[in-house]
Amino acid sequence: MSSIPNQIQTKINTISSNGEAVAQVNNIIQVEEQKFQIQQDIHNFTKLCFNNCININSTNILSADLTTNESQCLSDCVSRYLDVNLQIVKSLQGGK
Amino acid sequence: MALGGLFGSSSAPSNPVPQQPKFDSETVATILEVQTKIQEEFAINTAKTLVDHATEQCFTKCLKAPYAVNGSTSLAQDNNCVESCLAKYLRSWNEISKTYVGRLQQQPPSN
Repeated sequence: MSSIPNQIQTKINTISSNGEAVAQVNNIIQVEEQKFQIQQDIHNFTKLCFNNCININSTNILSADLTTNESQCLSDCVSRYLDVNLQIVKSLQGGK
Repeated sequence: MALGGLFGSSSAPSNPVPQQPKFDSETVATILEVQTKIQEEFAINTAKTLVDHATEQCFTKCLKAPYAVNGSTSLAQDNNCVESCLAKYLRSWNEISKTYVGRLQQQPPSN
């Protein structure tokens, strides 16, 4: 949500003369944006790792539960992705 | 992070504004209303992303070209696959959420 919808902005405008109230609202927006960003990260990881870890084919379509191997693969997939992310940041910073 | 929160089904805002005497009751009500609306807005966006991603994954994993309904790929069989694929997708979301949030708590994000 890059911009605040008009309906919400109109509401915020009614308290615009109260600096502390506006600060409170800005703080709320910041917290919610952070939560949203983390959820978007999880969505992107899920898409990537589901594709790589979950094997659905004609002989294996009925189980709704994750197998132990699938759970482990998903968890490892996120961990390794973050490792690579860190390593790339370090490399770009000239550490290696 | 439970999936229930994903759809904004929780009845109360997760960060209620503490009772602060510096705001009159009308202002507090406005702040709470704005907070609820903002949370709803984000929840809708989050749900849209989930639907988009799950559709893409389950479409790819469950259906094969040609996509004729009355051919050998019967709709009933496809639906069964889509159902279990979605169930697996939601469980995967939870699994990854656990791992990611656990890791975030160990070390703050680098960016």
